[in-house]
This record gives sequence, structure tokens and C-alpha cells, in this order.
Amino acid sequence: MNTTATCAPQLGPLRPAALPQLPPRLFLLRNVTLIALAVLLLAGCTLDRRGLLGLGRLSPQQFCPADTVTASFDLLAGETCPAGVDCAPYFPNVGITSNPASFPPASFNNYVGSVPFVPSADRVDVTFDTDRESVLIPTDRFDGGTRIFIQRSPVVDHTATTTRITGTIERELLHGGMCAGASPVNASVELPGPPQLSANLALVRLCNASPVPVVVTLPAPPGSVRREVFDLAIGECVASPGADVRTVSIRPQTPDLSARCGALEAIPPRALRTIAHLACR
Amino acid sequence: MHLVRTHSTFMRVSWRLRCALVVILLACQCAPALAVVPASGQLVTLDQQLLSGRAVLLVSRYPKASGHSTRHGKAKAFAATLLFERPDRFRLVLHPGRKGERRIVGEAGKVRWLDVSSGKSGSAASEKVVDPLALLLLGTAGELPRYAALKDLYLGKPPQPMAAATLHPRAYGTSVVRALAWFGGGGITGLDFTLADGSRVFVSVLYFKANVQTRPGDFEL
Repeated sequence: MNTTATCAPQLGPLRPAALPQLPPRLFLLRNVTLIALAVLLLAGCTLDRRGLLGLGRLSPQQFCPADTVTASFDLLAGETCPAGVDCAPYFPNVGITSNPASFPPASFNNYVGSVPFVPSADRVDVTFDTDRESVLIPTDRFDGGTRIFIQRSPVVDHTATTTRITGTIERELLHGGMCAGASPVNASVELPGPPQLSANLALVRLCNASPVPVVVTLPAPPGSVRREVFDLAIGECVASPGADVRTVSIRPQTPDLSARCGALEAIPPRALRTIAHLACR
Repeated sequence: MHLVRTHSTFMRVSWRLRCALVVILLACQCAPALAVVPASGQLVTLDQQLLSGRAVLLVSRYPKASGHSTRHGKAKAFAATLLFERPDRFRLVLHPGRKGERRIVGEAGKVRWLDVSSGKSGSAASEKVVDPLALLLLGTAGELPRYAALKDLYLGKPPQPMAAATLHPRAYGTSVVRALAWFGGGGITGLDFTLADGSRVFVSVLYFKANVQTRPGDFEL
């Protein structure tokens, strides 16, 4: 996904045209996201939305040898073509090509489409292009006697890139602090995977990047009884903690005295950090 | 360090150090031990049953890793309070009670805001300034699985004190690449977002009460 962050107040030329009048601080609203419980959150930057509104996606964006990468587009995004409605007249024409060629050029006349392929080089650029800038999707809702359509606009042609993973890659895992009732806890973290990274990565090294000694627990995979527990000093690493590990759980070796989780006052514990080193299997 | 106390029926916020935050009692004392229920199921149930809610949050924003580094920078943390009512009303206050307090109100497809310290205000259409995923989840009920692929995070052999579900949003144009919702202690405790630009946002839910009574005046700036 090709996006560029533009943080207030340094709003550059990539600022979305739809937001020309907002004072910089109000760009906070751009990342307001209501998830499930309708909890709305704010982040501090706005995004150049051209990448977000790009037509297609690649998964994974970094692959291991022998991985299959999927180039796909989905303009329905949760919507459905209503029963009894012929949506075909509204379908866009979408072409998908690769450079260097990893699959024959594909064309679709639909809201969704995908092409699985095995990359022919360490870096493959995949271009999505369409014959229109906006796409209409009929819904089963009516306003009076008129059917309501959803408009996807703008639909932006773009090129996405997938690259081969060489050696090991590292990712910082952030274990945010929370109050679970009266218990201060730090969030476990799932090791990164698709759509950014290959699903065929294994954890080869794990380091404590927190300012305190920690206890790291690597849950036994389903069907196994083996569970790994490591005490890690500040900056200490453990090698080959487990190839099948998908989740890293953590707590400080000594309780965070600044944390208070109770009915009348609550201060979540400080966030902890680990560094995961991953390599292709 | 943040310290917040509640008094009687409403809360009084007192800030102790930089970024402040609130905590309050967990409203639903009678909530069952939800951790034994898969988190994705809890999310779907909440999405079906939620009409309104009040939340107190601590938001920690981690900038994207810069250059060749894969490590995020230092987090910026700030408090926020949220009141919402489906399908389209919300009132969000950032840095409540502090210098720099900002109030943002959404209603009937329009968002208005006020920077309390500077007095600057403005408005815009909701779809211009609010993430599409937020609008979908606020505007619909029980349709979460349409807009996000849900999967329970494996945390080890059950029973576990915490449960988590990952969400991969399908909302067109959303900034959220991936989200993680945490449950424990009888309710939701946190939300972890990965945004399209590589930055991260972690939200500690310090108080959440579902289906609260609202009045028209609650959604004023």
C-alpha cells in the first residue's frame, strides 16, 4: 500500500484535496476510527489517501521463495450486489499487469478480481488500471422510489510492488499497557504476517527492547503442550525461541509500580517493546 | 503519569503529569467472565447490541519507523473521552480539562470542532474527515463481519485471562490496515491499530459503558 504520511502542521502538497480548509490540528480527525464497539480513536497524522484509494493490493508485499503472491482488487469492500439486480452494466474494466512479467496480463469486467502468481524476480511491480474514475454499486436500499447506489470515488490506477525477503528482517513489537479489571497487563502481539509479510516467516531471534527486564512467554502452538518462557534483561536476546511461534506475550519481571488498575483510579502500565527477527523457513 | 478519579455520578479529572488519563469504575459489575468467550464473538455481539456508549481512553500514537529502522519512535499519549449514539452522533474530546482541549462533534453527516484554547472552530462533511470504517461501524449495527474479517488471536491453551480478535478491515478507503481488540476483566480493555502509513495507535480503554442514556444537548460543542 503506497501511502505517504503528512503530519500536521507540515501539510505538504500531498494533502488531500477534500480537506483544504481544516486547521492543522483538525487533521487529527482523519484517523478517527470507530472499531466494533464504536470506540473512536484519534491518531495524529493524516494520510495521503491516493494509496488507500488505489485500485488493487498485493499480498504479501514481501515474499519468501516459493510463495504465491496474490494481486487483487475489491471494490465491493463488504457490499453485495443485491439479488434480482443486474450489476453487470456497472462493472468496471480492470487490467492487471506485471513487470517483469510474472503472469499473463489479466483483464476483468467485475467489481472484484484476483491473480495468484509466483514472482519471477526479487522485485515485481504490478499495475492495476481501470477505465473509469468512479464506480457505482447498486444497493438494496431505496430513497423513496429510487434505488440508492454507492459510489467508489476516486478509483485510482496504481502500481504496487512486492519484494523478496533476503536474510532476516526485524520488526518492533509494541505491547501496549491496559487495565483488565484490576490487573495491569501488557498486550500480547501477533507476529507480523500477511498482507505485509509472507506467512512463511519463522521467529529466529527475539530481543527485549523495553527499559525494564521482562518475562516473555511464547504460547505453545495449538495441539502442543510446549510453552516457552524466557527471562530477558534489558537488551537481552534469545535465539531460536520457536519456529512455530505466532504470538509473543510479555510482562515486566517486577510489577510496574506506576500502574494502578482499580475502580476509582486507573493508570495502565507502561508499554513494553520487543524486537522480532524473522527469516524465511 | 495520569491520574483520574471519579466522584459521585460524574468524574472529575485531575492531571498529574504530562499526558493525562482517566479511569473509572467498570460499569458492568455483573458482566460474566467474558474471556472464556472468543473475542471475535464478543465483538460481534457488541456490534449487534450497541446503540450508544461512553468511553474514556488513553491513546498512544507511535510514529512509523523512519528510514531503514524498523523501530517506532517515542509514543505521544493523550487522553480522550467519547460519547456516541448510532447511527451518526458522537462527541469526542481530546486532552479533556487540559490546555489544548479540542472538542469534535459529529451529527447528521456533519462534523464540527472547537479548539478551546485558541477559540478556532470549523466544520466539514463527515465523509471528508472521518475514516470510512468509523462511519460504517457507527452507521450500521450487526454488520461488522461485512466490513472486517475477524479472527481470534491464539494466546495459548484456554482458559486465558485475556482474549483478542484481529480485524482486517474491508471498508473502502480506510486508513486502518489491521486492528486488534482486547477483552479482559469483564469488558473491552484495548484496541491496537496499524495504519496504512506504518504508524501504530494503541488505545487503552479505561472506561466503557454501553447503551447510555443520551440527550440532545450532549452533542454540543
